[in-house]
Amino acid sequence: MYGRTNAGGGGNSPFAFIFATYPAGSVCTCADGSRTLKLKDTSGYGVFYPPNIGTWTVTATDGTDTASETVEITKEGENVSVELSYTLWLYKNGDQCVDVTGGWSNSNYVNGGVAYNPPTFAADNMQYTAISSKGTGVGTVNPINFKGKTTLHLEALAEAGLMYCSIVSTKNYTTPLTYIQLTTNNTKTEYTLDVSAIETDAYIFIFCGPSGKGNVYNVRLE
Amino acid sequence: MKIYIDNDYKCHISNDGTMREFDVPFFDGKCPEFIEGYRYIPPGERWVKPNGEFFRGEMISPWKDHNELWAAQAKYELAQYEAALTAIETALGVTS
Repeated sequence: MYGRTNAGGGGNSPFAFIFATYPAGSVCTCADGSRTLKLKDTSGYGVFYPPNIGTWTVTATDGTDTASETVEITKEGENVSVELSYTLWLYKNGDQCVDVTGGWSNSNYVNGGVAYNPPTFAADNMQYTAISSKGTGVGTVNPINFKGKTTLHLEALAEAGLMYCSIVSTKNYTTPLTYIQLTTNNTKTEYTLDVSAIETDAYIFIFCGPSGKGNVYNVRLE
Repeated sequence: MKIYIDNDYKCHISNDGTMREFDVPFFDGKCPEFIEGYRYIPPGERWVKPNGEFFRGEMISPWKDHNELWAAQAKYELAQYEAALTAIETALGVTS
């Protein structure tokens, strides 16, 4: 169900349409610098009717987090879609985001009966250097709530061996819920993992096998 | 386990003639309902969502609610266990 905005302009037909999806419970607005439109409810879905061409910025805020996206209306009758979500940082250039994650640790993480050594926590990244007989890995101490989140973003560099980012329901596991294998390209790369079908609490576990080597710079959920 | 992926990278347990075959150990021992609730993106490939967001392989992720998939797998494993137990009891001439 869409809430109608302040349409403005004249005539009975809307000039253009901006379909907005945003975090439920948030206030959502759309502005071009001279006019601001606001959705009547906070349901998470709404339609804006911009009255003229131009650059329109759709913004959602729940009082704590804010997300926005800019779109161009170039002609009458145009319709565009915007999907907004808030970023949940889990690791950011050395910051373990303890308030959310409880920290990153190898403690209690066991994959198919195999435990892992922890990486080195450097000033701005986690440095993985696995010995030949044992892999290196850490995961969130706390389970993370994935409800409403669609994508896990990971910025990492895989230098040698096999390196993975996985989502697991328990720290002692055999099969992850989902995983991505990083590309051993010795290049800082952004990886994405589709988590849209995971709507419960789960842990994030990033590991490499024996003799593996790499770095993790950022981890966030959107 | 051999699985087949369609043009949307969704997994299938049989090929309708248009799919590609892959051997994916992640699905070893998994029931058909579990397998067919997942996507598999092979290494070196990309899956692009309608909104333009892309995901590189190798990636395995559920597209159906993962709770349903894991419940189906648990039911499948229980059925397998009960079948094995029945077979053992039969072989031993034991009746419950």
